[in-house]
Parts: sequence; structure tokens; C-alpha cells
Amino acid sequence: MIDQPQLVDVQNLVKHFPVRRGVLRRQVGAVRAVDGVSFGIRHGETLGLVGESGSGKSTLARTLLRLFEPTRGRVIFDGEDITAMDSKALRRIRSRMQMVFQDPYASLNPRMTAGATIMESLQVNRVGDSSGRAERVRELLDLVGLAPRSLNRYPHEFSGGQRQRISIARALAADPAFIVADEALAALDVSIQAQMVNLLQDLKEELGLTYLFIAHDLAMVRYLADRTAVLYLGRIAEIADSEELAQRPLHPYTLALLSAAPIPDPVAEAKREHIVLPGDVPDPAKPPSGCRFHTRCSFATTLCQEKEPELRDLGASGPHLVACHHAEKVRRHVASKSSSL
Amino acid sequence: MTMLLEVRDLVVRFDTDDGTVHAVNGISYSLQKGESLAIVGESGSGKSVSALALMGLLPRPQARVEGGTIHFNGRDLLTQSEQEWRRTRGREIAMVYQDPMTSLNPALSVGKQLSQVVRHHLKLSKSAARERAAELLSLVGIPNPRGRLDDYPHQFSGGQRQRVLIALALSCDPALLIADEPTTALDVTIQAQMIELVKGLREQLGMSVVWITHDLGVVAGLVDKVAVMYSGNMVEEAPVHGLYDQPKHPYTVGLLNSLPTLEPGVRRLTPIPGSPPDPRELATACPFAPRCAWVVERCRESPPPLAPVAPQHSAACFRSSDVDRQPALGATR
Repeated sequence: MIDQPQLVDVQNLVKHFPVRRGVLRRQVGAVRAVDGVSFGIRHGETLGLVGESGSGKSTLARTLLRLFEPTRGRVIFDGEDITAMDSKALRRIRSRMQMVFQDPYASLNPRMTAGATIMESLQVNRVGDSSGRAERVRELLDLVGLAPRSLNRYPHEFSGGQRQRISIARALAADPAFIVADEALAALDVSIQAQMVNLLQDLKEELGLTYLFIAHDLAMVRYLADRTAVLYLGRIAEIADSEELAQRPLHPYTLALLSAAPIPDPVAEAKREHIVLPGDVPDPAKPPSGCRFHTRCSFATTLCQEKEPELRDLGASGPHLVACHHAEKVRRHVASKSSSL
Repeated sequence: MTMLLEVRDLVVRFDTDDGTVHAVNGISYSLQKGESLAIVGESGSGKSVSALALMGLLPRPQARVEGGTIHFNGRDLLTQSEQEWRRTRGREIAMVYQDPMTSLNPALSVGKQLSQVVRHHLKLSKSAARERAAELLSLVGIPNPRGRLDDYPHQFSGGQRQRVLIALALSCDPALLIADEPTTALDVTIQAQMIELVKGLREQLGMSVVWITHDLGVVAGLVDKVAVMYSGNMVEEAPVHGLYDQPKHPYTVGLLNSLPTLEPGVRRLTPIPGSPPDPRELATACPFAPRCAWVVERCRESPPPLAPVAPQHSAACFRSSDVDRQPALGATR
């Protein structure tokens, strides 16, 4: 995987939303939703993106697809800078980057049958000719595990999981190379989530897709993602191989996220370390000074209030980037906890 | 230990334009004073409907309680008048709902909302009620409680709003707190805060808790026992350790196997194939049979009753003695 070329290369991406006040609507500040984020996704790779609400993960996804205009920074997709493209070129490349949204109830047109929804995607993206499209719709339904009789049914006739399958089929209709799934499993029941995880894995292998998989649940991301990036207040706190991140976290925030993920086992649940973060995610219009996490961090010192930590590589076997002044201390803490179990 | 709550053979139906929905089909469970129970099930399992029945808040006229009894502190709640219900709700049984934004009144300050409740139920004076409101906010861990009494719900964050809701529920010192998916709309870190809070409050106040959720992971460290619902039926009930250690119903096994764990190296989950049955059809067989890996002919002929399988552990499955965490042969799809 490491030798694969980059499909997506995000370079110092920034998205600020202006805050306007008063009769003249003067700009008085900015919500710094995404504030200087860089990462790459290789061909065939799944990158997980994890963070709480307000961390900027959805804004990042939309800016990356240029559904929002970036404030600064560049996104290179398959060698082309999409941040510099005119609308015609963008339209051409959009079919190769598709998105699956969180809410399967809101993202499908209730007046269009499953077949018509998928057909529309084929037409808009000019895939195939009119004779081949009907056949392709059937293939796509089959590919996502829906029965042929679904063709003429409306969204309300499907369950949440089935609707999400239609959304996936619609995304696949454009014949994309890259799919962004924004909390695509969050609204589904647990047993259905598991079906979707496996479906996404199968599709990736079958079609050679590349994913950006956004979630707030680290445990779920670990199943799907080769690497995981943890976002906090518009910045990357840590990025590493998913296994490595889950077992040897170096950022106190990652550690807290892991500790907050519930374990379905009362014995293990009682034994393990519980880190309950105080308070909420701060307002991204007024991020804390220095390290943005210092207000909720048990490792924080005065250094953290003053100086913003840069991402640095502390990986032993592969890249493991972390933005924390005390990452070495976190590493020792994690090692002592796991050896005592 | 004394019995606080005893639900027997509760049946709830809904009349809809598309026919009768069999939401709850004869469930029974009980709760001692100070004990906590999780009711676990997916969308449409009837878990929330059974909670609303406990509060006397089933939507009328669509919903009907067709049978059964709910004994609370010795009296049958289902025969109560609306006036008696108003004394029960809030004062004896209180509920925390899923969505903190829609359950608070956006036009009233948080202090007003809290004092209203205590003034109504406990007949406190205006100043005593305000005092109690501040006390409640501090109890649920809102910093600077006195200073925040005049703030409106939108001035609180999502996690704090959920705390305010819990404060509201606790305002009259109820014997039973029902929490209906109180953490699903929250981030994991805030969810962890809520779980710690409710655990602490339970010990501090000695109340009983019924926690309704779709996530077996959330309640593992939180409750004494777990009841699993599927398609309006209770399919398994057990002490929390027994349920996770030795689940005896295939659906419980399926739920546990569907959960992502933090175990290394595993890249696939074991989902439950298919989807739940149409709630408009009353089951004449085991409702889980079409999705079950252990299914035999008998399961398609009559519904299995909830029967004891171990001390305090019951399951509604003909093959419960064969069921374990390992999926049965041929159940890989």
C-alpha cells in the first residue's frame, strides 16, 4: 500500500466561515472550522477521520470535494489541483469523487423510486448510453445487495439500512474512484451497521475504491480504515496506522476517545482506565491559545497554553504523526497501563 | 430489598392507517428498589413504547394498552386516573429523553423550568424553588449553577442541556428514573460524562434506573441487569455479567457480534442477516427465526416462551442450551 501513489493530497487546507455582526454586516471574526490540515490518501486506501461534533470533520470533507470554497490551501486529486479548476473541469472530475451522507432519510428524494434515483446519477454523470443504463441500474442494485423488485419502490418503503444501500448505489453509479462517507453508519441500528461495514469492505475490494470514512466512533473506524486521523477543532491531533493508533495512542485526546468508546463486556469495562474529559469542545470561533486541547487535557502544562504543538513523527515502524508537546509522556502512560492488565 | 416496579404481560398496540401495529406483545419484568435495568433493542423493538407506558404517556388515541399490569410501589398504574398520573409523573417516575434540544422550552430560562416543576410538585415558595433549582444544577455538575439560572437553553452546550434535563428529572427526587436513549445524540466523550454522572447519582440518591438503548456496549458498565427486546417481545433477561458472558438467545449473540471491538486485527464484523419483521404481523412463530443461525423446524411452528435457563436468567428460545457466542455453522453470511 505504501508504494501506491497518492490519489488525494490535501495541502494546508483552511476553511473559515466569517462571523458578521451589525447593520453593515461587518466581519467581526471567523469560525475556524478547518485550520491548516494536510494529509494524503493513497490509491485503494481507506483513511478514517474521527472527531467530535464541532471538530470540523464534515467541513473538511465538503471543502475537500470543493462543495465549499476553501479559504486557503490546495487539494490535489489524481494529479490535478481541484482548488484551481473552473466549474466545467470541476464538473468533469466530480463524478470521480462521490459522497454518501449521514441521514438516509434526508438524502434521498422521497418522490423518486430507487431506480430513478440511481438512473439520475447515471444521466447526470453521463455514464453509458440510454440503452445500457437500465441494465446498469439493475447491476448496481444487485451490487449493494438490494433485490430487483426494489427498482420501483420509493424511499419510504425501505428501512434505514436499505436506504443507505440506495445512497451507496447512487454514489457508485458515477463510477467514482474516491468515496467520502460522512457518518454514513451513524443513523443505523447496530446490527445494520455491521452489514454496512462489510458491504463497504466488499465494494472496496471489488471495485478498487479509495475511501475517506468519517465517524465519531473510533472502534468502527478501526474496522474500515487503514489509517486514521483524529481531528480536534479544525486541526489534526494525530494520524497513524489504525491499529497503531488504537493500541499506542500518542495524543491525550485520542486516548480519551478510546477510553470513551464503550466495551460490550462488564468485566473489561470495570477494569480499564476511564478518562472522562471535562467540559465540551470549545467554540471554534475562539479556539484556546497554544494547544487547542489544553483546556480539557490532564497532561497540559504552561507550555501547552503558550505554544501550539507542530505535527511530528514519532513512529517506530511507520509514520505516526502527533501534535502534542507531551506525546512521549502519553506513550509511557499507555505502556504502563497495558502492561498492568 | 423491596419490589419497586413489576410489569406483567404488557401488551400495547397502535392503530394506524396501514393496520394494527403490535408494538409490545406481552412483556414482563421487575425492578427492586435501587436496582437498575437496561432495556436493549433496535428501532421498532418496542423498547421506547414500553417506557412511555410506564409514564402513562402513550400517544392517544392511536395507542392502546391491550392487557397486562404495571405495579409500581404496590399499586397498578394502568388503572390510575389522569389526575393520579400527574402526581406519579415527575414526582415518582421521571424520564430523560433522547433529544435535549426539543425537550426543553427554548423560551423559558433554565431556572424557571426547574422551579416550575418543584413549585408544582413540592409546593415550594418562589425563593425556595430557585434555591432548589441551583442545587439541582450543581448536583448534575453544571459549573457556577447560581449564575446560570437565568440562562436560556440555547446558551448551554449539547452535553450541558442533557445535564439540565437530568436535573429536571431529578427535581422531585423520583424513585425511578427512565432514560430513553439519553446519549445517542451525543459525542462519545460527552456520552462517557453522562454515564459517569448517572452512575454517581444513582449511588448518591439510591434511585432505580431503567436505561433504554440500542447499544449493548453503553450499558455494560452501568446496570445490574439487562432485558433484550426484539419485535415487541422480551427475548432474554439476565444479570449483566451473565448476559455478556453467556448469552442464551441468538439475537443477543447477534447484537454482541455486530459490535465493533477494539481487538486487534479483525477487519470484518458478523452482522445479523436480514431485517426485523413487519410489526403489523402478529408472530405465530419465533419472530427471530428468519434471521437465526440456530433455527430448526419447531421455531417456525410456535413462538418459544420466555423460560429460565440459569438462575435469574431467562431466554425465549427452544435451542437456548445450544446457543453460545460462536456463530453456528453456516452462519457466516
